[in-house]
Amino acid sequence: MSSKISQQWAVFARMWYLLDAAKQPPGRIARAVIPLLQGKHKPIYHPLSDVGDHVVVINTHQIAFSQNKWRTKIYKHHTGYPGGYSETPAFRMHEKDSTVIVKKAIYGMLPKDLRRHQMMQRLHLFPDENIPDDIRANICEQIKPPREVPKSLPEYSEEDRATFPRLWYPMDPEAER
Amino acid sequence: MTSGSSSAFLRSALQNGIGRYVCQLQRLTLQFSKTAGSAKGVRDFVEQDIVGFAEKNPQVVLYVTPHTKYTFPKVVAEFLNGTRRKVDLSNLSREDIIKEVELLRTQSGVDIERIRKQWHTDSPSVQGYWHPFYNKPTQLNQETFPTANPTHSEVRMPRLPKLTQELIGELKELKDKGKYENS
Amino acid sequence: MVYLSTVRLIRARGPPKYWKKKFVFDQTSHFFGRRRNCYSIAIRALHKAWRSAYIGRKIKKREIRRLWIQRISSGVMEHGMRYSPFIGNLTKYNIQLDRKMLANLAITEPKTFKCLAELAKTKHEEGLLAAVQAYPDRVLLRQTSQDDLLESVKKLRLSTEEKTSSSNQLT
Repeated sequence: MSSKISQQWAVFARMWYLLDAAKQPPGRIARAVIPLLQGKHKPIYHPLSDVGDHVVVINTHQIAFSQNKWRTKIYKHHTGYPGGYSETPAFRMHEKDSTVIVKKAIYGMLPKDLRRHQMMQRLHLFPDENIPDDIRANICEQIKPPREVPKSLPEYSEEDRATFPRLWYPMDPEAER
Repeated sequence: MTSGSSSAFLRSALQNGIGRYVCQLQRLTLQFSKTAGSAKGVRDFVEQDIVGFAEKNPQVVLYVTPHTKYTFPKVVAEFLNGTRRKVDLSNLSREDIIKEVELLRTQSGVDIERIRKQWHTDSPSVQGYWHPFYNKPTQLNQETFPTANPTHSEVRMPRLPKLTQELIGELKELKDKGKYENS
Repeated sequence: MVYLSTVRLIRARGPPKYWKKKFVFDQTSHFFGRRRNCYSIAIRALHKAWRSAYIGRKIKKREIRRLWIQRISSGVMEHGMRYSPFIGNLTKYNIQLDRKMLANLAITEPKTFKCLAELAKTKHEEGLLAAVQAYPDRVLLRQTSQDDLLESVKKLRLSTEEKTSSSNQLT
């Protein structure tokens, strides 16, 4: 029977995934991370067996909100005492702790049961690229960023800019005539 | 119901019958009274059938123990795996006793329990179990993280098959044809 | 084992009230508080337990099927496919494996499962190609190269120039 056990030991091995959060919206980050935390990407998935993986998210300082959500998105909190209500806009939240927005987004999207705390323990958030060496040594695979990382104009080379297709030329002297 | 009856998975005694068959019944002890009316069938069985049974099954040890101390006639069967099974034979006819003994002879001695599943295999996986590294690209072994070429992504089904240059040309021709025909 | 049946039979003669209650209490022996030992509460609790057990027997089938589908879906995702087209295209090949067996294959025989996924994928792509060739006008070409893009831009510019020139002529 021991030979059977040795066949199975790798089945429940935990993977460590890395995600670069630079220029990614927090909701899209959460969507990419949650199935991995739950273990829903494995064919051995069962809601009662603890098969979720670890996810390391770096560069959470550089997350991107669309529109003016930095001002309009408000995190509400009530302590339970009279006058204990507080409202914090997203940009203030980000100033205090730049991992907390991603953390809240993921925490809110996970299923609301006792497993949620275990899953959150398997989530590791870092505001920049610095990861402790013991965590870096575990990482097995990197997740593709859910949104295509936009490039700014200076990041394109001269050739790219010259060959980029255009519909019209703003300074074309022939068109002015 | 609530207390829960014992249950087991499907099994056979040492895969009996796959290579060769070994009779699992080792000993049969017939215990009956010489005089009691409830043991009439057993006495008939002993007189008429027991010699034939013993000749046919030399591997089974038979004990015939008539004695007045037995309050009811019974047969005690002992199997190769150590199971001991008593069967009450009171008021049974000779034909019924033949059936009971035949049943004991063909049994495996495994306890009769509720079977949880109707199938069983000793080797559930031939190709080896799935594990998280099974379908991963091998170059991940040499990668340092964070990398410029991440591999894991959510699946987006292709709306079109991978378009080769030939296919694009072909499609364009088709498209142009369609335009001219319409106009 | 303690054999109490004979003792109880002697004690409880007459109408079968005792046995009726015993039937109930045997089944409520694991309930909490007075639901276990007080008859009028226990019988109500037992009726409710029967009702939920009846419902549970139906739900169990649904739940297990949901689990199979989840497992197949996650197994198929590893090979760049999704559940719905996977199942649909297997039926086109007349592969009559049910969801239970497919889920088992995904765990115990991963290579067989990979072949099934590839099979469904090719069939899916074939179907798309056939659709493209039938209605080329309705298909938006997506993965075009940059040269194609440039060509189309040029065409656009030419047509706009023509239009402007023609409008000039008219005026």
